[in-house]
Amino acid sequence: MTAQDKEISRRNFLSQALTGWISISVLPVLYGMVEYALPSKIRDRILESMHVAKEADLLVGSAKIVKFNKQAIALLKSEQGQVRALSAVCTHLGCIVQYQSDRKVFHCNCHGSEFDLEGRNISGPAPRPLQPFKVDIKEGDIIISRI
Amino acid sequence: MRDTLSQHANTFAGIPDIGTRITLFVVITFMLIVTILLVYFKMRESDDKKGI
Amino acid sequence: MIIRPSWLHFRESSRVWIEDRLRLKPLIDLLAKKLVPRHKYSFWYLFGGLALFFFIVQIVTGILLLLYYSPTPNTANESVRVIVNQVSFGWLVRSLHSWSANLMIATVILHLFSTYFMKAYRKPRELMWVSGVFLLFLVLGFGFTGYLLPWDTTAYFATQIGTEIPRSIPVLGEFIVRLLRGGEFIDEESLKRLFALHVVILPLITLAVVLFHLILNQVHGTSIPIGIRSLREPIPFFPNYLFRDAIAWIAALILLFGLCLIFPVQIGPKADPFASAPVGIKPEWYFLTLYQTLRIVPAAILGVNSETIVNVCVGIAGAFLLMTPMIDRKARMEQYSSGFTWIGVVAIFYVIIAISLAYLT
Ligand code: HEM
Ligand code: FES
Repeated sequence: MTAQDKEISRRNFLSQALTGWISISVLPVLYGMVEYALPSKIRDRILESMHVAKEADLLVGSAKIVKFNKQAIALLKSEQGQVRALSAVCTHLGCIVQYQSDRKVFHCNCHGSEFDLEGRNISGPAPRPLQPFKVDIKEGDIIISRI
Repeated sequence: MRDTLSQHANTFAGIPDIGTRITLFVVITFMLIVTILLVYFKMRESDDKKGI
Repeated sequence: MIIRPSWLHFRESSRVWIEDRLRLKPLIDLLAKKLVPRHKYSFWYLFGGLALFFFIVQIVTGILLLLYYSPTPNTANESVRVIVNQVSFGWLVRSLHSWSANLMIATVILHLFSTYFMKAYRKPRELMWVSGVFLLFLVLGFGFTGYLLPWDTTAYFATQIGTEIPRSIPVLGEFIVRLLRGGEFIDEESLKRLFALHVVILPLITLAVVLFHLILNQVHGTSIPIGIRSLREPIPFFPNYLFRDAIAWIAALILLFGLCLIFPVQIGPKADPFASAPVGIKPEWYFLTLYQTLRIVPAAILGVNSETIVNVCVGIAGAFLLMTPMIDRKARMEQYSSGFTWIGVVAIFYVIIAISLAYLT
């Protein structure tokens, strides 16, 4: 190796070391920024069960959408007087479904998925049934809990 | 506070009627077409200078 | 002896003063050195400049809207109503921002297709094309993030759907959704995030990419489509072509004002996250192709769910778009690649059919 070659390889080494070092130092900064931007999980505090409505507010054969934590839930009172709670969030891409009492289906206006009274996905792009919730009625108060 | 803001937000019917809007459109279009003509003559002048 | 009026003296001496300090002559000479070819397709060269024009309109009107807009679920819809109903010319500024956004996206799409068919992406302009595709993604990003800001019902569900789509991307999906929404649900955090993207993050990135795109255009000049013998003399960009650009911009301004004054933009009812999505809800026209694709793909094909399939297809289409200059070997050797022209034609047909189906069904 001539003195000139040595000089070149020393310079090469230096610039590579510098580029490498800077790239490595940038990584923790990027990590910090992404961590900062990610929402903390604690803020979405979730209650296991909640009082959502009075039984008297429900009409037979129609659905009412109530708030459970931050989620929308459809309450449905059947002709036999039984109350059922299904998530009102379409399992396709998350629009709120609409109950069509004449056809007895939940219809999603976004891409046309349909669910029957049990929450089963019967047509359209929805991949899963609507999530069911447990219903307890205590002195006319409807209490919903996660299953 | 929320109520007063939303009441406040709806007090005036903001968008002017179609007659006003068309008048405005005619005025703006007139101004802009004159501008186009002036720019066009300027363009011709500079094209002529370069023999385009 | 000719007596020159004193204001002419003043004009001349100010010109000299400025030139001595800013040394603009080399820049002007450089712009004059760039030649714009003339042939039967040169009309399409106007569209890049038009996209730039609408982008400038967006910045100006966007800054004006910012003076009154307030990004929280309780105030967003109301503050837009204040702009429309009470602020002088507020309805006009809002209409300009909204119509110019649509025209910007339309001109970017036309510009993309025209450079695609003219194969202007071939060597040495590969990076102009790649930066152009990024600009397309960026303007679509503007459309998506700006849509939620009025916080009306349609916007709310459109954003719900749009931020749900990435969830089925392998590995990163969940992460992207949380990052965009700032939580599990569309709420105050999501509004603030999309607002920050719309008014700061995307504009800064777009400005940088536009600058890169324009500098490359200056460096390489404008391309001539393969096999075209330029019949007439090319035109110097400065000042001759710039006058033509200016005429196109003013014509675009007439179109823009016409749309705003005849069809001013309306505002929908405030979003209610706990009400059913309204009947007939549809996204903006530039997302209809994606929307229709989501509607026609069945829930699962061979056990793979539909969103994964659509995500993969969109990913492939995006990658193809980005990589076109590298894939099209023929164009690289200055040979006309009709295969690529056909792909473009098929893409246009798919878009037209999907949009018509979305409107008809
Ligand atoms: C904000 C968006 C955009 C702006 C402001 C913009 C601006 C421009 C301008 C002013 C020109 C020179 C004039 C012309 O040839 O049309 C140009 C050229 C070009 N643009 Fe864009 N552009 C944008 C988006 C795009 C997109 C989405 C693509 C394609 C993916 C693209 C690809 C190209 C190419 C390949 C050229 C060179 C054309 C040639 O040399 O013939 N641009 N752009
Ligand atoms: S979100 Fe319900 S069908 Fe797509």
